[in-house]
Amino acid sequence: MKKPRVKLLAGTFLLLGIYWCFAVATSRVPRPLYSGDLAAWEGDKISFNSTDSVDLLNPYILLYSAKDKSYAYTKEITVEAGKTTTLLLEDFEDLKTDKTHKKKFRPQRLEIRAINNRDSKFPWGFSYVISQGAITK
Amino acid sequence: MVEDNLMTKTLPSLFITVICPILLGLFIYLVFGSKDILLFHYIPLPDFLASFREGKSAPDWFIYNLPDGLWLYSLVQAMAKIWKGHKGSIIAQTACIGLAVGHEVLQKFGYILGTFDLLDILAYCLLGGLAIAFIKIGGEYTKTSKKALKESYNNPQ
Repeated sequence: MKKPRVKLLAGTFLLLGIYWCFAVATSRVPRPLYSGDLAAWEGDKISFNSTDSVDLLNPYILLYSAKDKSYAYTKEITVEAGKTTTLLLEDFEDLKTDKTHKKKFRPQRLEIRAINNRDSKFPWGFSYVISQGAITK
Repeated sequence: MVEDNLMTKTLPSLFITVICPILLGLFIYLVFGSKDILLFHYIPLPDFLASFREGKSAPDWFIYNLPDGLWLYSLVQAMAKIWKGHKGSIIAQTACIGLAVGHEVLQKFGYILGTFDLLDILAYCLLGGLAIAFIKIGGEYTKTSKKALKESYNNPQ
């Protein structure tokens, strides 16, 4: 006896849902990447040592200042395992701050983020944190 | 009686073709895979498994691509069981492979999160294709068996 179409479709979507959950459960999550979870801030340079390479899609750095609730981010970067990554303040683009503000900008937190496509117009064009840590001056 | 017969035939088949590939893929993830998967974020890795993992290594294709292929193999087999006897069965099975390959291609162009891997596409095509081939062979075998059974019933020696 053939199954009714509704049951068939319900079964199909249930099955796809189960397998989707399996795919999500085995996907990777943020992990600590740089030694000591600290990044050093010196003049207009910020540097950190990564203990692992970032092999996710389009990694970039985001700096966040809780004090004035502002943040800035870099373009796509390369993070190599065991090497110091140094970035200049000029490398950062502003999201919420203007040029004048940028000079005063002193972030307290550094995040390494991965993003599928920052300029994507699609709703799923979001980023997520791979690693984060406090910044020392 | 008929239901009993159906259960004894369906359950082993379900276990071998659907559950086993998923368990094998999960085993590879648990023993050889990265510790940074979402599953371990909510359910910590048991101590015995953590110690069992130590010193274990395997080629990248075995750790990352084979479980993906097994996942799709299992999905195609499960889909075939749901759509059994329906005209749309082969479409549903092929759509599963299309979804998996499409998902990977969308990663390449940055529309969805994840890392594009050509070997994943190869694994999907190989194991997805293998699943369809086995379903086809299994179907032909069942037809032949039924025909032989019917003939022997009609013409007893």
